[in-house]
Amino acid sequence: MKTLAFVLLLTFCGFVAPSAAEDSSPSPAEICIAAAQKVLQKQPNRYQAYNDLALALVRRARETADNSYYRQAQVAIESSLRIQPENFEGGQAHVALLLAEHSYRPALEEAQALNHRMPDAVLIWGYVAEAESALGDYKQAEESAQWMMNLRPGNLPAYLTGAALRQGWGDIDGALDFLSKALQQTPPLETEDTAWIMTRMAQLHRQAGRTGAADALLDQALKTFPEYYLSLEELAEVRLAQHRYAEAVELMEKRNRSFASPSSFLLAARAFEHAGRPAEAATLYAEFEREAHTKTALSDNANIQLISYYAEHAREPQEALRIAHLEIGSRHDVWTLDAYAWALYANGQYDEAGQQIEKALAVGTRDAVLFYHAGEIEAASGKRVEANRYFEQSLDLNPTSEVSDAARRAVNQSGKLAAAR
Amino acid sequence: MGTVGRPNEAVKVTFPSTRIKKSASMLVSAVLTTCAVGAGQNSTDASIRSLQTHLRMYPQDFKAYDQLGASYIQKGRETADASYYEMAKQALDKSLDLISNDPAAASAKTHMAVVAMAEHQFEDALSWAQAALALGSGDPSPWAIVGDALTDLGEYERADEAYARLRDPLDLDDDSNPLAYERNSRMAYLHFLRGDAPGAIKLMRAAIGVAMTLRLPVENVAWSQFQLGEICFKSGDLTSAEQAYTAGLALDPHSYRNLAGLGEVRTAQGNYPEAIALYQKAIAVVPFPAYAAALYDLDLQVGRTDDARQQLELVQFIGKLNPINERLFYRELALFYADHNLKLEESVELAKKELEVRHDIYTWDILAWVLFKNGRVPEAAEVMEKALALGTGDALLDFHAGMIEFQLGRSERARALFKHALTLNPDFHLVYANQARERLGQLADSDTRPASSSSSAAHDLRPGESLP
Repeated sequence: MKTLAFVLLLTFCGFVAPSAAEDSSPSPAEICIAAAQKVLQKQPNRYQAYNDLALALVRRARETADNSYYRQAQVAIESSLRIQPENFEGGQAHVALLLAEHSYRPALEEAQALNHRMPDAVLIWGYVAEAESALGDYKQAEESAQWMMNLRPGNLPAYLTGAALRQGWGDIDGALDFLSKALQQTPPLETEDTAWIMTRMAQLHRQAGRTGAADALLDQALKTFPEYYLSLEELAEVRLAQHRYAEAVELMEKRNRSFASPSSFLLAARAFEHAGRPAEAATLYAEFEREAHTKTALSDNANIQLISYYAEHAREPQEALRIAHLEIGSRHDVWTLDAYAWALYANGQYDEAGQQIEKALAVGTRDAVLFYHAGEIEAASGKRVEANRYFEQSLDLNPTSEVSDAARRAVNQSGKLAAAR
Repeated sequence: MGTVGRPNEAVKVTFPSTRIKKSASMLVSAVLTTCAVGAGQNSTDASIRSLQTHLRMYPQDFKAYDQLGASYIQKGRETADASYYEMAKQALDKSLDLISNDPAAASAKTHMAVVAMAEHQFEDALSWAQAALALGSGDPSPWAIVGDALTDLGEYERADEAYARLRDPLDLDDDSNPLAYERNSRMAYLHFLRGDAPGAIKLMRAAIGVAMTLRLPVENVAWSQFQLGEICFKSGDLTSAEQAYTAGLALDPHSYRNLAGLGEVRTAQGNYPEAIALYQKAIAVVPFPAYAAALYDLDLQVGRTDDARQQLELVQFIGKLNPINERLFYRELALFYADHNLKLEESVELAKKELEVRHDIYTWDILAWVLFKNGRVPEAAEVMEKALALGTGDALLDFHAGMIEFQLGRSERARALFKHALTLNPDFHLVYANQARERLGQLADSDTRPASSSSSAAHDLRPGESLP
């Protein structure tokens, strides 16, 4: 799932016919790009048009998964700042770009500087919150998000930021409530934004084991913004949870026809593996590893998935830990902490793994995989009772998660041991 | 591990106790709202001066530029001087140059939409209002302008949908908040257009009730009373119309719309001196061509031909004062020319220009009427069907349609239309009400007589006298 910054770019640039969902119709971002370019043709020194263009290009990257738009966005921002140095929205567009590229530390620094210049700009608070959250500073992120709410009660970006934080704290229903409110406020013509929010909601439902609700939302999302890669990916996850592996394969084949990412290769590999097609799965795992490996030193990487891959699938725990060290050096959000703990566990460093997973769990996130990892780490440390509780929590939260079979086996094993004793 | 497994935490990101600002919502009702001159004018001038001073000191204050834009809009409404809208645009452009992609910019974009509506740039108004909504500021009031623009574009079902979104998402019981006022007052108009005058009156009365309870600005309430008066007048209920206009004037004695509305009632009652005085008062506040046109007809009716000549000049002068005025009054000028058999070819051009930007039933009606007056009767009949498509209970529409049908020799339909017009309001127009009766008489007398064989007969069907 792309970062929140993408959806904090709500702008309307002109009419999108009701038939926007048709293939031939330009997307909302394309309309914004065209509108900005039209202005620039007439007024080549209009810096705001370059800012609009940059934001539209970042939006287009979200619509298509084509990251080459980032470079074009950077060029537009440079043009804007050349015409009007230090213009506020040029800076804002740059922060949006940095967040989209997962460069959280510089994004936070630049966003804070803009925040000092214009404290009542709501979006900047949202960018600050997102960067703080990604870097693991959830307390500060909460304060920043609250500022968004206080400045403009009920504003849409605040709902989205709040939903992400609530999800992080394990308040899934609260996150859904905010996303639902955001959805109500999203203008119907903003088809991609609508689909993005629906996909986020579907993800939350799936993570809570409600695959039916997720299914319905994704169906709607794909009608709203056809062949949206994020919705296709999420629907494939739903199909995996429903054990409808052939459909998951089909969905991922469709998704990977354009701008496949390391994450989408990995998901496709899982789908093929479950569908009993090991050869294709192996090819895709290799593709994932190759792609993800080339990005390990970049900010926009797939390191968390790569750690998990090396720790579990490829049986290369040392490589998992090397990458985990790299990642934990730059951010401490719940998923990085979890991945680090899992890499430590894979290398037999159970005490340190226990400390790291505790930090991850302290945030409050309710996620079946996270609980399962906690269970395995506790079990390895000989804490059977705690381990069992985590396995059960994982199953209670989502009985159809990707780790549900393993969690069930662990619980059964524990029961047998107890009976034997 | 103390935090693990705890139940869902209490909501951490909370709402403050404040709700959507009333002022923000009220911005939208300003689209169709006028305000009094006098004290209001002074305060608007003072506001403009103060904001200009502030901006000299703080040129980066985007909110102040937005407020300055809003003040110019207010000034434009007070004076009907369209050049203030251009000044508003400049100020709002400055605001949006400083910040345009943040929910904080929703207000400036909404004001841009208001300016576009005031300048009859309905597509632009729609775009700006949608742009304001896309920023997700949490204020649903731009939906009002979306609905208004769609109404003028003739997209009534989409306008319904837009107005239905005029609800405060944080206030479940919102039947008594400013958004309820905005929603009901606008939905009332759509009900009226669809021929449901009782429903329209009920909604407008509910809106006025909310406005009074919330102590909304007098110009908003006075505007609503005017709307109520219009619906009552068109429904033939002159007593209720008079009450509404009088109530509007009690709130705001300078409400030119209510002055003119009451003038229309007095005309229908045959009280021409008072009608003339009321229209003169309205013109003294804002010299709208429609008021000068009504005064022209009244002056002719009482034999004041010199005064009538002045009104004739006034209508044309205001209508072409500047390019913006020209655009604003395409429809009024077209109607005036057609009604008085003046510049008939130009009246078609004007109606067609209006149709380029506006596709509501009244624009179709005027196009049909000017085509009819130009002798293009079959074409007029085709266009008139679009004007009648919603089943609007407006006697003038029926009269126009009746005249076209009469000219085409379709007696049954003509008779039904004239009857319906007179049933709706027996005194719907100073001249046309009598003409409708005359035509009905002719139809009764000579059902067998063929329709006029002259294609120029439309020119003989002059509703009002024209000056030599």
